[in-house]
Amino acid sequence: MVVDDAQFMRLRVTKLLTRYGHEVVEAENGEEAVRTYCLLKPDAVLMDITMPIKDGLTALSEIRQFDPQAKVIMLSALGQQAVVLQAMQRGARNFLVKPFDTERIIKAIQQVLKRCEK
Amino acid sequence: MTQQQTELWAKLLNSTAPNGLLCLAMRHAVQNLSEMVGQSLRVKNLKITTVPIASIYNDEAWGLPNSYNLEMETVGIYLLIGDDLPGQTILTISLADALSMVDWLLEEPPGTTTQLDDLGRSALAEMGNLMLSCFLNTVAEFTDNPLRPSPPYVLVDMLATVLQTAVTLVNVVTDELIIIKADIASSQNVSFMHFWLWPDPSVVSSKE
Repeated sequence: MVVDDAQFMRLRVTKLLTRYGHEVVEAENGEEAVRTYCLLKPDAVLMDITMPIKDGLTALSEIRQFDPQAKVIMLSALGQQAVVLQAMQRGARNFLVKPFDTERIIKAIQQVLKRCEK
Repeated sequence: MTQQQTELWAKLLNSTAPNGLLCLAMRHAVQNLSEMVGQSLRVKNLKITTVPIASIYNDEAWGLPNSYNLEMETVGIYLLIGDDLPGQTILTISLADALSMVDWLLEEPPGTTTQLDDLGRSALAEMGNLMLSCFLNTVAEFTDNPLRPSPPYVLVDMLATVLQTAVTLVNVVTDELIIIKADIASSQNVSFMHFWLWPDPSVVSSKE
């Protein structure tokens, strides 16, 4: 699942993941992300932090509360130490800083999915 | 308003030197933009000034190039800043330059985008978010707490109207604002960007 309030970013990331054979669902804010996660339980989540209605860190906590095994990767331009720490403490599996590098995204997704298979 | 918030703003308002914190933060922001659009971009003519809010509608006071004026069609990307740096910011760019940026962001040939649709607005909003977040990442190295922006809001209007929309909210209480002017140059063209930054009224009133 790709969660970002920017249509432009959802389009870019979805296009990339689809090219690598992944099936992608989208959400445009944290509230929609939590609702969609509970409904579909996707294998992995790529989530932005700065979003309207509900931000990515709050959504991360709620998703992890619903499913403690949820594989959530944060994808944000806020690469500040304090923000990364907050995300990891709330259970994020990885933190990628925008602007994103396509190889890093694919590698991060493959890593969490591999752990999932094990 | 905490002392830390007031001090951080004071530090920014006093760091207008060519090698100061604001210049460094702006250079980082453009570097991020460069990575985002996959183009080699560099900052030319980076200038930082603090301008009395009363002269904001006097375009001669803040030194626009000849082809720019307050009636120019402009795209403004507006964000609120929270945490230890409460304030507001607008990144302004001429509509013509914004359309060129959209071509880069959407990986379209130059001249493809002639109107700003929802996807184009979203691309520019993300550009503003990315640049401001990077700017804040640099400033945050001077505070122990995170600095986070709000989601971006894109305005398209005359430059005077774009500025008025934001400035009327604060012009009663704040005396000055920071303008960071930068020419962003690629191998093909030069875009002229203004980055307007001003503190939340509560910071100003706590200084008085």
